[in-house]
Amino acid sequence: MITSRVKTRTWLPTPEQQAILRATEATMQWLWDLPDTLRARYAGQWVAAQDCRILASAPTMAELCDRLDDPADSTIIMERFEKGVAVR
Amino acid sequence: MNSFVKRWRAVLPPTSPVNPKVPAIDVISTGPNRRALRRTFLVDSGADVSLAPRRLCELLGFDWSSGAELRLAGISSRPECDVEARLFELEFLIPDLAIGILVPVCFADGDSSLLLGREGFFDCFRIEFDKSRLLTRFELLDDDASHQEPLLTTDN
Repeated sequence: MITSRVKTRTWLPTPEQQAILRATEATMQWLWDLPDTLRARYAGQWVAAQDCRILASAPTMAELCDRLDDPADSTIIMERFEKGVAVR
Repeated sequence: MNSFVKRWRAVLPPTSPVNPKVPAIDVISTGPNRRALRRTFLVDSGADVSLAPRRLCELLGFDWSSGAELRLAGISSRPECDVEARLFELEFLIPDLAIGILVPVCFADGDSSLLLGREGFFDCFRIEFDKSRLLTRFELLDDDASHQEPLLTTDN
């Protein structure tokens, strides 16, 4: 049996976490507002982005990770763009 | 500050017959290996529990096979469409509020969207979806206002 309760805490970012936030902020905003042409190109794909450019894309996160040298690199952001209307 | 507003994010193709923007939030997730991975999760009030692919589980350092077993059912009623999953508690760090929240997350054996479902996350916030302006407002609840009852129980 697993039981979970609501747990929140104040988060004081470590220097490493602050560096990750700084390193990813522009890319996060870029992906958030990705132009229509790119969103159409990557529909149904996962993309890995760094420094406001797409590093790789693949149909699944697992395949995307396989195409990256270091998929656990904290400065890489991975996002999935849906291919069509979804009912989740 | 105990609230913030997020613009909705375009995740559907521009040719989509519905509005391509959906409620979303960016978070930093951490796991046993201390890696901090920043990701955008769709805020999905229709999802019972948060969802992510198995590969993210592994990137964060969890041993997928050690999680509590679950089977995920979607819109299809056919049992063969169910997806095997494992449940873990994952800490989400919310940059907009500088807080960490422990949320149960199902990691699907295969691919899935990144979804923030009701269990855990929605217990911490009053969430208002404003489709007319394509905005979501998150208001952090006081400890007294949020549930203190057990949130998720699964037989294993």
